Amino acid sequence: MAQQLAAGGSSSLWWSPGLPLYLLFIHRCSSDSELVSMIAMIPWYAALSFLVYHLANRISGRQAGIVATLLLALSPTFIYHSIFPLTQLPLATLLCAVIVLTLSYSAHPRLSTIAVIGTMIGVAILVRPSSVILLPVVPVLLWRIHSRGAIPFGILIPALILITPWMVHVKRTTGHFVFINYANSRNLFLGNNEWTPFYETWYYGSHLKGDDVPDRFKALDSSIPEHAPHEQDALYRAAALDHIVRRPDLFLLRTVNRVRCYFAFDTYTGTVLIKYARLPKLLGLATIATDALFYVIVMFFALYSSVCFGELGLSSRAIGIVWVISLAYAVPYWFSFSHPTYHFPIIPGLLAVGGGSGWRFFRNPGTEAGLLVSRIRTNKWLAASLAGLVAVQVEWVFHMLSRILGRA
Amino acid sequence: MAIPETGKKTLGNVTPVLLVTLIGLLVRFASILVLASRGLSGDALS
Repeated sequence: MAQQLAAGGSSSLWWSPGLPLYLLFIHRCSSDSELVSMIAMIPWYAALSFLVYHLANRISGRQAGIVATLLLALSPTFIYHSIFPLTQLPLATLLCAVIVLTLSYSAHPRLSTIAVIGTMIGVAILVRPSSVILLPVVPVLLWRIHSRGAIPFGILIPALILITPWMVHVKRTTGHFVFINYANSRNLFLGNNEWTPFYETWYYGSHLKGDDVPDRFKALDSSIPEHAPHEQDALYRAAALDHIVRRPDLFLLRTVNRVRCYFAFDTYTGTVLIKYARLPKLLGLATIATDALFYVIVMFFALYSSVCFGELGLSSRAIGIVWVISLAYAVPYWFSFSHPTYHFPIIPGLLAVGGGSGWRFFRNPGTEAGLLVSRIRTNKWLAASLAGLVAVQVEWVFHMLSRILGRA
Repeated sequence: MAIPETGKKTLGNVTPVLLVTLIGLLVRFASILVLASRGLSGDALS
């Protein structure tokens, strides 16, 4: 898309512009080879590593910070996303920066911090427009910490300064107002039409050519692109909203499923290595297993730290800020379509939350395991959240196996 | 009067995270080299 942007025209307006603009800048400074695009992702990883260390150190101490950055350094999915030009890693870095800055503002309420938060949110919107949800949520969160009239403007103004030139560019190119890019309403449509699977709501986002795609869906989805881009935007949105209004029961069912699916372990990296990199199947399966183990450990200790913050001596405010910003970011995916890979940007924050209790557990497993078991027995919230985490993973495995066995 | 150790403490805090990030960077550069040697591009895998 960076090359499409350089060429101009409305075809470059389908996807969000943030990452392509960044790559375009890097290409202009060096060369436009794919190797340069891959190396250009690495600074995002370095920035994320320092942010995660800072956050984990703030929540639960230095050792927790080192453990969290080590997991980030060696996790297969984080390695994959640090070398391929995808939006997940920049979004994870920006989200982590917003969390760190919000925490910093809670301790030292400076206007400059608010302006940087607004800038980060503006960039996040350009990278993925669904991040626009942070624009109302973060000011409300900051307002609850320190009620200052400057907060909404301090965030809104830098964000608008960043996104307005792009919106003007889109208006000049197409003659119509579109919020950042065209793909958003299609995503809403793909996850909300009468043929969308109830659990695998992402399915038509990546499997449109399969034999199992209904002909009527194919016909509708291929007829809409015959219209002008701005009409496509309206048609996809209208088709999705029409289905939601006609079948609110199915929308509710899919939304509940989307939330569960979002918190399952991600199989994306291993699958891509098997399917496209043509690496040995065993290596791909080992990658999936490592990612699954990494994710379950992170979520387990994040939930443990979050429910038992008092007993563990952790800051409830810091943990609360991480959860509010992370869940707010996730909400748009629960209404359009969901896949475990979309939880990638919220994992670094949760890694920082769980780092403290995780480090404590691995340093002294005997004593800590006993304490953990007794807390699970006495704390129904901890028991319920951990049981929910396990149930979501089992359900995901069941769906994956059904699909694989169905294909065989 | 004790000599302030602020600088030493800061360096002690920063060094481990620098080392861990360096390990992460090496792993990533190595992965890019392996993929490049196999003729795989970002477009093929993203």
